[in-house]
Amino acid sequence: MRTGTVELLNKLQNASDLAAFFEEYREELITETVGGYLTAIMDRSGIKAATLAETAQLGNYVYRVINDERNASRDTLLSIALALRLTVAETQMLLRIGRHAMLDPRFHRDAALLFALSDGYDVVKANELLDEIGEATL
Amino acid sequence: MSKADAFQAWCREQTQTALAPQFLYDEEHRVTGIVKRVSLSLVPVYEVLRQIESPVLPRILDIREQEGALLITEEYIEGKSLRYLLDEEGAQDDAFVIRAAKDILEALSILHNRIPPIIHRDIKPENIILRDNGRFVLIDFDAARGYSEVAQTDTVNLGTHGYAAPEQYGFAQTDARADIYSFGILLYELRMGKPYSLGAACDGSLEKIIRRCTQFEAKNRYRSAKEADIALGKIGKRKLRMVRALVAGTVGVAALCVVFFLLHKLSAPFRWGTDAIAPTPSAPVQAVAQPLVISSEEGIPCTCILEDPAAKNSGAIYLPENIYDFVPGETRVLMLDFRLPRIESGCEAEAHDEPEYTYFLRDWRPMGTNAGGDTITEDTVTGNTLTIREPGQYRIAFHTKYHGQGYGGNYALDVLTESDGMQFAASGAIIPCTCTLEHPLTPEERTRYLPESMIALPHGETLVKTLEVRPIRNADNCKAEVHDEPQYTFSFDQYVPPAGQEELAGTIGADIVQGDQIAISAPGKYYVWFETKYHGEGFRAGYTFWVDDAP
Repeated sequence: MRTGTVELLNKLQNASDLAAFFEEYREELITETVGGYLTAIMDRSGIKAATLAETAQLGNYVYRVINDERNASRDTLLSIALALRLTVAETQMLLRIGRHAMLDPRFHRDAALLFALSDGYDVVKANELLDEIGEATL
Repeated sequence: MSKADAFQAWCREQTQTALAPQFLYDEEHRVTGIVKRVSLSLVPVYEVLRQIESPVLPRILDIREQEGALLITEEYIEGKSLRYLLDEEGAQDDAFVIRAAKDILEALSILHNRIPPIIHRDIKPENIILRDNGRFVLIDFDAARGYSEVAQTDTVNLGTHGYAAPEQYGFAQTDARADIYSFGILLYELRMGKPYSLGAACDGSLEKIIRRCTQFEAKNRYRSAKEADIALGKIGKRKLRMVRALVAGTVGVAALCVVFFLLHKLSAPFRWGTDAIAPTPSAPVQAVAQPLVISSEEGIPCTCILEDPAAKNSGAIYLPENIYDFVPGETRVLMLDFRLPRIESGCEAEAHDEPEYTYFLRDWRPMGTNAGGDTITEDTVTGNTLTIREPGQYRIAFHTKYHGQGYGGNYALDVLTESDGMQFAASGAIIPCTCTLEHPLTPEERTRYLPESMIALPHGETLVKTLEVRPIRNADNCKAEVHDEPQYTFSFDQYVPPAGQEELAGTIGADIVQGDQIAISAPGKYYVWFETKYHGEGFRAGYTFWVDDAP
């Protein structure tokens, strides 16, 4: 039976082993869309698309991503994750749903983004960090 | 505290729980190294790794113990992991996969040839980095262990589900072939863009190699990375000069661990002979760490004749089936996927392996115009997709060649609407090809196919401790490879120790084709013989060689 997005998010929040979670809900995750996933998160946290457009520094492009009209790049999804203050687990799932590589702490830039997510950085702060350590900004 | 400082402090904290490494920087703030925390049990592995310098492995800069764990300082490999490339770009083409495979096998070969061998045990896309310089680097040895001759099974099962070999689940102790298994799984995923599942078939020329790597029984896989590399070399068309280089190295450089030699050979098939091969002087050699790999570069010649479809007026049967059956004006075509298998049975010559054998669309344009053409590349051999955007009538021409023999054709197709796309299936027909293997009849002829150093090394001057025989038995033109042919074997199936000495049980496997080692612990005179067959034809020869005292 298909698990709802919100239920899935709750399960993800409580999951101790991320890999096992992905395995268990693989089917649901594959059928999920980026737009559906983001909409569920925004509904939960009460963030409006207009706010997201501004905080993610993506302008109207955000609407197209939310409406699944565009396949967002990895960096776009990371900007959205920072803007929505997603947890690391939620961000990894967003990347996976968007069919992008998950963040890998063994890579310098990915490690910095993991730090930014865990420390609650927004897009501006994350970009400042990336710039400081000589990595490409989002 | 700056954001960079905060990030570095976070990394240090993460390193304590092995969640993320700590990064080291040079004066210009470029990342030069990483520090990571691993289990103390990896001391032996990292001590060996520290001795290795290779473009396909990270350099280990420092090893120290701290609070019951190991802190490893390792060169930082700037680049993208194969996992990243798979997720972002999907399946990779044959050329990319072969390039990656060669580097991975080089890394595995270095690890497996240490004494004792190091088994990585976690070969997967996450652990291979495509460096900015184009080389692939194998990282993350946290599941690695040294192979012990004594242990029957591994006490700890590590590795990654989906990539780990069956024996890593406790069936037996893992050896180099566990890495070969994971390597095969990785190749499949890289080529197909999706995880391997049992019995899955792979497109293109890598199928055979992947199948061999992923055999459930370790004994049915390639025995070593070098052997897999030789099989891969047939696809990559790389000339195998490795053997010559190694043999030359034995004489010129004092970096030899083993040398052996042979004196006598059989004068008639199936019986021991006494006609000695003329000895030639060679320089004294010194014992070293690496086993010597000895092969003959000479393949048993084989002549292949491809059926000429033009002569039989049957060229059309090798076209994609739908083009052949296509009725103009009735088919909606938006996309053509050309992926033609051209495997010649008997010869095992595969389309992709032959530079002279090509299949390409040399012309594509809307009928009656000179437009178009930019969507078609010459290399359709490895699969090409033609996307037709506008309805209309089109013409496609192709040409195929094999060793100078070939034929061409022109086909028209109509694209009616922009509705459902349609993919053309490849033709199932195979271009027949007849192969004849040269049958070496005289003893002189037979020696041509022996490992060169068996023939050349003189009696009494050479020290033999380890003998690794890896015969290359290419059939020229046919690309028939010894390893791929069940009827073609090269084996030592008898080993007679000198009188009064115990037989070295278990040191010689029946399947020397896959590479075998004979470790000889006592000086003396030894016999060994082999048999080779190809499609029922074959010959045998026996040899005597001496093992002298170590200096």
